[in-house]
Amino acid sequence: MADMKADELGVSVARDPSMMTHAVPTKDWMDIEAVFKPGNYCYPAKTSIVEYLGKELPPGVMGPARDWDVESDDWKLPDNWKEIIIDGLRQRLDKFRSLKIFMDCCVRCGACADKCHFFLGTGDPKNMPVMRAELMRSVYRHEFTKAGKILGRIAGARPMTFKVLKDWFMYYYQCTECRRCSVFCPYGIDTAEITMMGRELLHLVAVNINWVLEPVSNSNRTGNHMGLQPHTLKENVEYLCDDIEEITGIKITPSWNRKGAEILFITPSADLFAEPGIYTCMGYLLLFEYLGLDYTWSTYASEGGNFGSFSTNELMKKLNGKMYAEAKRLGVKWILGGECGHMWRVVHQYMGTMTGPADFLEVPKSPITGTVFDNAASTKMTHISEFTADLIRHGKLKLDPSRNDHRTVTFHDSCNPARGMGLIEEPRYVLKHVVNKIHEMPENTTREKTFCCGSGTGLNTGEIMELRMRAGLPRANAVQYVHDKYGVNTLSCVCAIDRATLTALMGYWVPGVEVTGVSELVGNALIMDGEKEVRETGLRFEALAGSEGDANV
Amino acid sequence: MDLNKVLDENRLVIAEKWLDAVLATYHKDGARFFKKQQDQFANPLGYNARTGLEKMVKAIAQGGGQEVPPELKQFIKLRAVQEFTPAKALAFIYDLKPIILEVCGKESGEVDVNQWLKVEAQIDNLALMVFDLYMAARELIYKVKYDELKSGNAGVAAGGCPSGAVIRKHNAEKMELKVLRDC
Repeated sequence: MADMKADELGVSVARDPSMMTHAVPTKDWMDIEAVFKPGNYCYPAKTSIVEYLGKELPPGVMGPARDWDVESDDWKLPDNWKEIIIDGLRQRLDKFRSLKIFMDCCVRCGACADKCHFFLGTGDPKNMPVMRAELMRSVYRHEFTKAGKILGRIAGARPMTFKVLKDWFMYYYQCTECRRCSVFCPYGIDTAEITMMGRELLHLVAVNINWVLEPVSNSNRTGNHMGLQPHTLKENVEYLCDDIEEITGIKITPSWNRKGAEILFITPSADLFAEPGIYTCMGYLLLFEYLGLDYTWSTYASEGGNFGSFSTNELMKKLNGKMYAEAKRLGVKWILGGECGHMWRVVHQYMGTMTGPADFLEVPKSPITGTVFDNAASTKMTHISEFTADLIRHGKLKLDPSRNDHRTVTFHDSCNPARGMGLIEEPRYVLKHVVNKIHEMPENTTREKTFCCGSGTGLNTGEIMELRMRAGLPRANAVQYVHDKYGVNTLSCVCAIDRATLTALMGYWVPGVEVTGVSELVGNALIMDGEKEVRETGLRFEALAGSEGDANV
Repeated sequence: MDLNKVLDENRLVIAEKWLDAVLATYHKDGARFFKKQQDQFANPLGYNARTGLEKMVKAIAQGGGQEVPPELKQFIKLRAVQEFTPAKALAFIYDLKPIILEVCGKESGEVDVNQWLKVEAQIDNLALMVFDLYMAARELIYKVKYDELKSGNAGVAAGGCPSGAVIRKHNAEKMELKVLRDC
């Protein structure tokens, strides 16, 4: 009998592997329905927030505010929701030529299929970029092409149904718009923009997520994601200055909302209140103090992050406009931008056609080196890494990289600066001068092929932590490699979302690796005039290499 | 017949079948890719599953198997955050038993019961080890969630004014340090 059973089991494994492990159904993708359960979706936006934003935007953009339950089969959609979506798609096909091209020109070669971190961490074919786009293309074909109208499913077409809407909500929120897939697409299809359109269409019927819309609402009303009021922002920076004084002996008193300053500095607000961004902020403060820079912070433009770009282009435009309105009001010459991700994507890729060039400002010119940043001739906004690299190139900074000898560093190219604006060499150049021990991650995981943190585009929320961990696997896997091989203990980057999300990612996958901004490492290495004779700790009160005792006490 | 010897000689065939059983828990289009792509950075799931299972079969064949190879550890960590129930996440360990019986049975006709019991005990032990790993991963994910809450990053959409809490925390820490220094 025992042998019989063994035989049966053996056959079962070879022929039907679902014996114990319960293989997933292998139906055609169109027949598989998205199932929402706790942990695989983000919470919808609060009704009050949708109402508020709805009043701020042209009618219809935010859809009808209501309480709805993602797991339910009744999303309380308006009766004519299909019509709203199809009309919305039609308008966008007319307005955005890129969308029309992306809907038509894919030949389904599959080059993008295995390049998405969500696919690599889940194996779900709808996370292949080509399939994520098919979720919309199938509806496009059905509504807007002859072949699709006549042949239907044979031509890859399907009508807009609730099942399709669920697919969209599931998979357009399992895309971080990182654009890695577009690097490999022979046609240059930007799947991120398809996701952006998908999310816009979902917003028309008020299918949205709170983690995106509440920060947008706060930014619109108060100036930053948290809704921090001016005095709180100022106090937060003051307490960072207290720490700087304790660590370096240098007293810094930055100015706020100062009219006539030469430069307006804008960074993600997370740099002002959340670890480890605050240490990056301390790096900025030290650098500007060192240079004696004529700059100001703003409580109104106190957010570089633009979560509007994760919802609808109207909101993206609105939040981007705030930075420039403030620059105009204060009468600054140009804007210096901190270590942010999507702020730069919006400025670099979309602002030109969205709001036009900022002609009322001057082309950024470093007051220290005289370098003119012609690359920012239209936007008038320069990245802190470009600015710092230029200072180092001209020998303007006294640096002691050995102060970072307690760190063995690797650099994560944040998707938006790397792929969205080509900022690849500058942060590396800076790192090379402030850190002695640097090791690159494998070639197919860095630079323009960098893997996303897995939690961008407003997906850095706690309710989907497991999803974030599987999406971040490819990034973490490469960090694990350099951690094991070279003893890398520091993952540096130039993005505030990365600083937050990679911290969680490392906490799960590669404990022992800390996440830093590049400017934090600059702050550690910078030899300030009049500073303490011996710098005993780094900016996070951590012991430096060779220092004795517990640095925290 | 020496079961361990047959096992060792056929370890790649066994590992391959075991891998197929594991990958069958994913959609066929995902599984096809996980099996085909060999680059460890382009396909971390497939690479770690394949390498981890191969090393494990080899260790069991050679009478070891008291430690889980790092690649399999990472794979278990991944299973712990994929959409499986705990049982489904780890059930593949038991698939190894019928696979060994099938492959080794074909090779040598009969499998010696006493030798089989030893191998089976190793697999049962492996199941317990990965159960520990799985639970450690689940506990870690809760710690990561807690740490994120504590860091202030989770406050973005929570409303209220967490910066006040940050300042209070900072002040409390400073006070604590002062007390320590005074001591």
